[in-house]
Amino acid sequence: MKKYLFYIVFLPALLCFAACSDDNDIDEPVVPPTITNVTEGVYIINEFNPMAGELSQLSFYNKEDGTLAKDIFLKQNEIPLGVGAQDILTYGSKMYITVTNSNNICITDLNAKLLKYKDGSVAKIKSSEAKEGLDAPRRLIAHDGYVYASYWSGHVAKIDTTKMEIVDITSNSENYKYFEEMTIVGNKLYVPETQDKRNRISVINLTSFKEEQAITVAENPMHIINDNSGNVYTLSADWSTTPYTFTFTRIENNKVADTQAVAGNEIVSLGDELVLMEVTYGAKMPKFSFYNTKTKEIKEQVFTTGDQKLDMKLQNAYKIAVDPNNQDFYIVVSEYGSEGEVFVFDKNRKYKSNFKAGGLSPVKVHFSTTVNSVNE
Amino acid sequence: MYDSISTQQLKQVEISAKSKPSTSQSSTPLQVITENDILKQGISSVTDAVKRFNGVILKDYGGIGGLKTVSIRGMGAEYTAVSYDGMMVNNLQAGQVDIGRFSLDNISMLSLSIGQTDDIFLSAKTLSTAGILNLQTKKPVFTTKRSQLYGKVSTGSFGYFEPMLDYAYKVNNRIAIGANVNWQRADGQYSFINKYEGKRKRKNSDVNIFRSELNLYTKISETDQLDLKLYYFDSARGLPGAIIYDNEKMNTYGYLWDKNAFSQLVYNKRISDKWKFKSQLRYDYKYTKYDYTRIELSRSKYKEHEIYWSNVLMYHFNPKLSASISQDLIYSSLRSEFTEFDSAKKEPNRYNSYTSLVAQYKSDRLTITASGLFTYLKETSKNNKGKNYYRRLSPALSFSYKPFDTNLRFRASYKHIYRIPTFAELHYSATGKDLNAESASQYNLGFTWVSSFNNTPLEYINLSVDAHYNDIKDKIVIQPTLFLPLSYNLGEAEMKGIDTKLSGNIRIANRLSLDITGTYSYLQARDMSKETKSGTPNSNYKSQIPYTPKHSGSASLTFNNPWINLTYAVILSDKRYTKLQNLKEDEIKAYTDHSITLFKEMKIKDYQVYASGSINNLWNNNYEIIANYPMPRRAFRISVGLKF
Repeated sequence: MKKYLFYIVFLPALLCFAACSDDNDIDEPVVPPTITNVTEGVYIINEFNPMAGELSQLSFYNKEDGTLAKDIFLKQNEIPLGVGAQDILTYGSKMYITVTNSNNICITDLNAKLLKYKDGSVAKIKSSEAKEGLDAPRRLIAHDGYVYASYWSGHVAKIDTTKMEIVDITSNSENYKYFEEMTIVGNKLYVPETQDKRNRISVINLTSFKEEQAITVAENPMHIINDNSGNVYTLSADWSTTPYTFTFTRIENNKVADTQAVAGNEIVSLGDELVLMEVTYGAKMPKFSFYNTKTKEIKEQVFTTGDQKLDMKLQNAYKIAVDPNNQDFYIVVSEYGSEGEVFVFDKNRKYKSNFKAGGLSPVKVHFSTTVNSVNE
Repeated sequence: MYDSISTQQLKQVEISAKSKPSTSQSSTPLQVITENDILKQGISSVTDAVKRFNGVILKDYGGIGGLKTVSIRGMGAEYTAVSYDGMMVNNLQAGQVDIGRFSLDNISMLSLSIGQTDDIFLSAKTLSTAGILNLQTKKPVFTTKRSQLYGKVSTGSFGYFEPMLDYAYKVNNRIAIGANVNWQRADGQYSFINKYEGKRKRKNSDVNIFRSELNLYTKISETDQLDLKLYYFDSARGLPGAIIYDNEKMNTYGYLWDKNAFSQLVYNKRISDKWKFKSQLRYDYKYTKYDYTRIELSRSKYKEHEIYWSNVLMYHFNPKLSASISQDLIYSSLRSEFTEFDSAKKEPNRYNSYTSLVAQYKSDRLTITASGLFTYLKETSKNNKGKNYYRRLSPALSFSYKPFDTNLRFRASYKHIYRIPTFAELHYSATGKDLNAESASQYNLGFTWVSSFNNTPLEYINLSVDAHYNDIKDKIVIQPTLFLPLSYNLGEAEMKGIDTKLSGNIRIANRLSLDITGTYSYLQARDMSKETKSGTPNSNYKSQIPYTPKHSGSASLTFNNPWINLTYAVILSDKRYTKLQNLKEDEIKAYTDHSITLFKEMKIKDYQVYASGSINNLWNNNYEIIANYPMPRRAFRISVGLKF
């Protein structure tokens, strides 16, 4: 009964919270415009089933030779990554990985080898040691020399990237707010409360590192993203309807500018467009809509591999991502009980290739960038 | 003094032998553990007893409070019924019964029957499952004294303490009452070895269980008997959850409060030499409260009500031919409250009817039983969509035949099982379309052989070998998704295997003997779904179903002597997979669990004294039955019982 209940009540809750798209609004470290970045490969976090205590794995897909290295974190460090790995971020020469159930943030080099503190211990930011009540790290974002992490406990932590330590934590006197995705515009960090039936977006001033205000949006905001022109968008879900319905809210100058019903439970940014994906269980294929941030128009688009059998797999689309270096569009597929798969489409939405994710529940793909050439 | 013990023992054996059904004559596999076995072999719990049965897979999440369910031949726990004094124990929500909740202290007999039983004077619903784990409580037998008192105290490792008091009183020749109170507590904090972290401690697995029951036995006349049972169960248990790497505090928050009260009225009437009638009425209430996460946020409460009325009428055409008709009517409801996603609740009500017609021919050499069960179910719920009724006729046929004068019997049986989706499958998941009931077929072919050997040390030998084939069509698959899990009929599963059991008694000298028992099961339980939900070929086609070992077995050896009885028992299980993929990395290692028990029975004046001491997991093996739910390592247990 106990195990069952996880499936009935708790797992869906978790899955809901986990259902977040990738942070493509990460402000990359300042890079001189003369350098061309090339994606050498893709890191994939395979979450597996954290409720059953299953260890998450990090796999690496080498784009050049098409090989997949499974569970490279374990290979590199001889210790597992932990349970419930969620998000991965590269900033400077370091990689940060949030591991929710093991309750820490691992800091590694670009090859997933754990870094060490001066005292020789491995670089893990353990929530319980950082602050009483700080619990369950979820998402990461970098800005202006710092990495920020959101926590289910309703905190945002500011991480000093040299010391690899938390230097500041927002306060939360209430219950868990289930913070997930974050987005930064100017010196403000926006983070929605994803606890069931909540509708608040907390706005944190990065200078004072305090909540400055809260914006009310449609209930259950699951995703937040910005369009690089100062607009912030949230995607909210209504689970009480069949099928589920989703609301898209545009926030301008910290006020709700407009809302509209959309087909989408996942969102990523692709140039001037925001791509929404809606997975309706029982329906044939996921629906893709492109929202033009300039014209504010929504157009539906079909993704097809051209092969009916391969297309069938897209019914189990789970996550989407965009390669920041060449705008390739990634659809991550997770069929229950089997290894995940990744489908790649080029920027003209033409099917390129697919590869195995290396594990179950691929929750996040992350692009490993190398500096390839310098344009004189 | 020793003489009195052996006569006492003999008496006990006779008594239990009388009520014990014959396992070798049964036309379907039947296994029995009596009170005497429980005492002598130091069987500590219902779970511990079930482990020694053949052809079952026990899912044990570890510790005293962890969920324990039984599945027959890998068919899934929803296919196993648990009956308590003849009435089925239900779990409306998940459809599987946690056998950890029962105490062994007041159990006189525990039996497991696979397929259709030969007893045809049963309520119709008992025909609806793949097998029944039957718990029979002790009925007082008065000889000279009017009252009997039995007290027992057990204690052991991990803060385990369990006192029990059983009292029976004969009011007059017609009326007797029996009362039983049992309390169990344990801290449940045991150590285990984690692959990457070394020694860790299982936390949040404390248990506090109170059980009580009151029985009233009324002999209205020579032909009429009315029994009333009032039962109350109250528990508070930690839910330790899976072990989380690098986080000792995780999963130390979950808690379960569980209350159950039922009253059960059983009326038996022998109308004539040919007619027998039994009516049973039960009202059952269950209250469950779960706290899940780190904070109060995730709390869910469930209330289940059930009214169950069963009538069975049996007619003997002649000494060999008999038939019975049974009708069960059941109303059940489930109400829930969630702190989160409360809008998802459905408030279902279920109206259930089971009708059975059974005919049996029984002679010394041949037993044939044929039955038909008609299941009808109607359901209403809030925001009800899709299918709300189920109906089906399920046949069963079994026979047992003794071709020669020796005690060699062949048996064969077939049974159809119609498993209606549980409340969880129907209402706590999103169903893309109507969810059909699962349809399963169960086939068994085997033999039993009992023989005694004169002038040899081998007193008797009892062998049973059964081959089985089972398949489940329209298997319900529950898939976690974005929000609510999705359930759909897609799967097909197939189980085939062999169950063997050998037991015997070897006489060494006067009053010195050895009881030996060994079981071995081979089980191939495979996913036979050709396609996945998305229509692509199933990459796990023909993979072994998670948590079903291909090879498993048990063995025990009891040394009977006038001084102190000694039993050594071992349970063995091959590796299992946690996932359908059957990858090497998803393997859980094979294990063995050994235990040793010393047992002594004495008579001091008018009292009968029992004392036993056991060491479980003698070799301190670190193992898991379910991945990331470590089992306790070496543990001690001592019990002392006193009968007045």
